[in-house]
Amino acid sequence: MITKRQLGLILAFFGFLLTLGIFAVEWFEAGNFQGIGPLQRIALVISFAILVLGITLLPFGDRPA
Amino acid sequence: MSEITELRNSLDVHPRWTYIAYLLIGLALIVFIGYFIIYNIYAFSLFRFPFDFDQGEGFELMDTVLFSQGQWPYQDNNNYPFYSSNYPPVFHLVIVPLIWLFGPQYWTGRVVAYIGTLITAVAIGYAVQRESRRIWLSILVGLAFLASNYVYHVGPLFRQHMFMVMFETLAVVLVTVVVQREEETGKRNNLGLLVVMVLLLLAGYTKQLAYATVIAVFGFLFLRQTKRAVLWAIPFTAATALIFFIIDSATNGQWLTNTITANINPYIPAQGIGLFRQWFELHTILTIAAVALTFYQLYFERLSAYAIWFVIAAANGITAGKWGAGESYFATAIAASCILTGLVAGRLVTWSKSKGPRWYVAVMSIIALLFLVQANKVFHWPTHMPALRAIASAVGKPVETYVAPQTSCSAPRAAVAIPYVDSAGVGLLGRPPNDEDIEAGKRIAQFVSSGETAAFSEEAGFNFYAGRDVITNPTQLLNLYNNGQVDLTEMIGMLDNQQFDSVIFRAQFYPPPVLEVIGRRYETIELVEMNGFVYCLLSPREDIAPS
Repeated sequence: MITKRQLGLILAFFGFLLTLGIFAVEWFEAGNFQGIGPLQRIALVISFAILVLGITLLPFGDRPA
Repeated sequence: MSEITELRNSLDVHPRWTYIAYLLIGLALIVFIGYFIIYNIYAFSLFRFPFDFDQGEGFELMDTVLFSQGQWPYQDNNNYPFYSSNYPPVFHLVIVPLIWLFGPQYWTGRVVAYIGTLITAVAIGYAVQRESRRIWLSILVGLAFLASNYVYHVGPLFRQHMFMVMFETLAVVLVTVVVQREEETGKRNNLGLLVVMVLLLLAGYTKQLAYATVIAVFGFLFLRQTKRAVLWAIPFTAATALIFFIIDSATNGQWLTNTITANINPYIPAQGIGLFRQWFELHTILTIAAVALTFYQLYFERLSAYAIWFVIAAANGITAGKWGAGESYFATAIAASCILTGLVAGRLVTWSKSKGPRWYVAVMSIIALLFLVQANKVFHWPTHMPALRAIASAVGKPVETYVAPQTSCSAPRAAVAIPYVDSAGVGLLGRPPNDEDIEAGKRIAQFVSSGETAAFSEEAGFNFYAGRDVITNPTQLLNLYNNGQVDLTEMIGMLDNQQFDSVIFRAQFYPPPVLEVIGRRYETIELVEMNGFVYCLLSPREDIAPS
């Protein structure tokens, strides 16, 4: 069974990775950073929201997710 | 209506208010039953329509015909008849017995897909009924699913998408039942979980998009029974892979090429964002209720399979921006949101009951009003019958829509009034096909019959009707062409030699070199309008001898 805290950690980690990934794709694909496009902006908002959601779950401790 | 009886028996509420709640719930039920009648009118008019209503239906029929003859539809596109399917087999295999009995008829797949949507609606109603125990609410959410513009548009078509949604819904409802009973009794139900896995497998082998529901179900199991989720994921993955490799081996690699490679299409951000926005605007009440319950469960309860399913299915809606994808990609999220809306409403009614009769009446009335708001948002209404026209007029809606026939191979045409209104905007799905459409289809089939060969046609229906070979699957060819996976030499050679007596265009989906050679060797001799599309009928040019 996964707890709220564990789920929070998973979501925060996933959100962090996603945020990092969005920038990484830009760096690796384009070779150099050329700014954030409209789709990337949406993805960035979503990944940041996942990260924040994960953090807000941390105080809920060992309650089952 | 035990709710109402209770209300009426209450001494704390004036009977007039109880009647208002009763009337509003009754009205909501009548409105959604009205949509259900409309759905049936549309479905039954499609059952008697013997041609493609949505481009691609005929190719699904062709897949079924090939299966019924013991052949794989995953074939080499480089050689005549240049045909292959890009969809997994389950939906077509289910229809095979009907093809054996009745021959290659469009209604076979349309009936099966339609029944699939009814099963989904019943499963949604059951999911709500087992928690809320309020039949009016269960009926409302089941009908709300069928009343979605998207479900209405594609539900009774010969397309596998809604059949996938049926398997997905059954899997998620069943996993909820199985896990809940296990937690109540403390006994494992491996057989129940096995059935869930089979349903997921069937969903995935109906259409690849079911991966989102597979992730949701395993995500739910991971939260509840982490070790067991991992243990079940291994055989599930193995079974999925085994079937994949067996089919791939049996088709000499054509399965991989045609179901995976051919589905790697360009992404159109504007299409994806536009459909996301439209989905929310059409299903606002359902979506807000689903989001609200998901957040509540996330922080104050345990996440249900339905909440996880909704989040992942909604996120997966972003794939609707892929070329060739569309509104139906939101059908899974709509099914999940209907269940969550029913659960929210059921809980609110239960909660209000404990707060006293006034709250009870107020909450019941508000829920009914919100369902009526939702009904207004998804307004779609054919107006080809005087009674339907009168109803649209009575509720203050327009009675017709002005749409220009879609042209690709002919000059643009002026907009004409069509007897159909849809809040999803101007579209060509939803208006029941009529006798004029059938006659137009027959005219095109007659054109095919006037030649000696099969038509090089963008739709399969005309060749089916004329008893000729079905040649090419244009969108499949275009996808493969864009991925560098098709050799068009033989096809271009045959067109260059004018080996086809007729060519039929609807949207010019063929790869550019194919369109180019047709442009040189064939000429348009007639235009026929069917289902709001202008079809171009082409014959070999006589002024240019074959090379």
